[in-house]
Amino acid sequence: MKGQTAIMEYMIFVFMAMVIIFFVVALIFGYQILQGSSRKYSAVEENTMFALHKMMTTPLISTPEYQKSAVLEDAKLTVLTCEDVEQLFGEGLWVQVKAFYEKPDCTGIQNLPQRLACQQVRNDIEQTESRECTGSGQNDYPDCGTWTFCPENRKERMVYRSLPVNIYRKMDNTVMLGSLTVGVSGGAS
Amino acid sequence: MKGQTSIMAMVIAMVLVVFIIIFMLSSAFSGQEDQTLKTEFRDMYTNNLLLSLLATDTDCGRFSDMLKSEYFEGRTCFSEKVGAYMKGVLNATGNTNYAWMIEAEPKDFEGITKTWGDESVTEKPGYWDARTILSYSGRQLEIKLYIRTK
Repeated sequence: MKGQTAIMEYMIFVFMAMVIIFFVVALIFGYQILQGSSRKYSAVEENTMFALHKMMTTPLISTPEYQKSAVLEDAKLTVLTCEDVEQLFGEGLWVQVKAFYEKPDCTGIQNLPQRLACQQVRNDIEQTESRECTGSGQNDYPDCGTWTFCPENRKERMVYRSLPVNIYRKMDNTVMLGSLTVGVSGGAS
Repeated sequence: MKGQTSIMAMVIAMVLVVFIIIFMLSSAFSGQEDQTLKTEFRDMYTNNLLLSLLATDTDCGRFSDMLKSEYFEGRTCFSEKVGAYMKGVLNATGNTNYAWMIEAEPKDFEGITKTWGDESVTEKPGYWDARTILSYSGRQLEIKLYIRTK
């Protein structure tokens, strides 16, 4: 009887030890798999940073006269295509440049007709900001403020990074404030 | 029997300790890589924001000129426009939760330090900054931009 009890104790001990080792190993391997995804995400982030940096400094879309800050030239942006972007910076990129137009502040206006008129001006300016610059008709300076290259990849998760930049409007030799956003495909959705 | 059980317990404990050490080492190194990328991007963002803002033209002139004329001549164009432009570009870059402060400090002459924006940005640690120099009639003004999440 004593011998049987000892064997039972031994078997229970071995079983519990195996269960504990199994759970610890499963936890660590599960964590390693998550780490692998995280490393892939870091690699995508690095690609995004690289693309941002290259875009701000390439003479194909930036203007060489302004050396200190990232100044993109509107005429060069208008003629740039998705194929150019893919050839220069790699496939799987989504790029958008947006110009910021100063808008009136309507919040302090008490008079209703004046506030409505102000709001209408704001709406018109926001429409101009969102209009794609294709170089023809209304989609040309000064009635447009957005340049988008390549469709967004909706099947894969995209990592987006956005930086403030300047946009040089060649027609009237002025520099506007804007944003450059780059999206890089990375990882499964 | 007791001896065998003790040896098994020691072996299992050693295996667990080795796995836990591997686990902790891999966590420590991957955390550092992510932090470096975040810091690099924040520095690039802040630097770009300051330089881009100062190079922007408005109907009142270039921001760098407006700042100098406000500091040295008392004109107010910079104060009137900087808030709207900063808000616009922070929104456009998806950072609606950032607070900012711009500071102009004399570098090689005696004078006061002027600030614009949220002065509480630098009260606690955790902000990041960019700097540049503007010249006006032989005098140098150091311009600093501070940003933090609200």
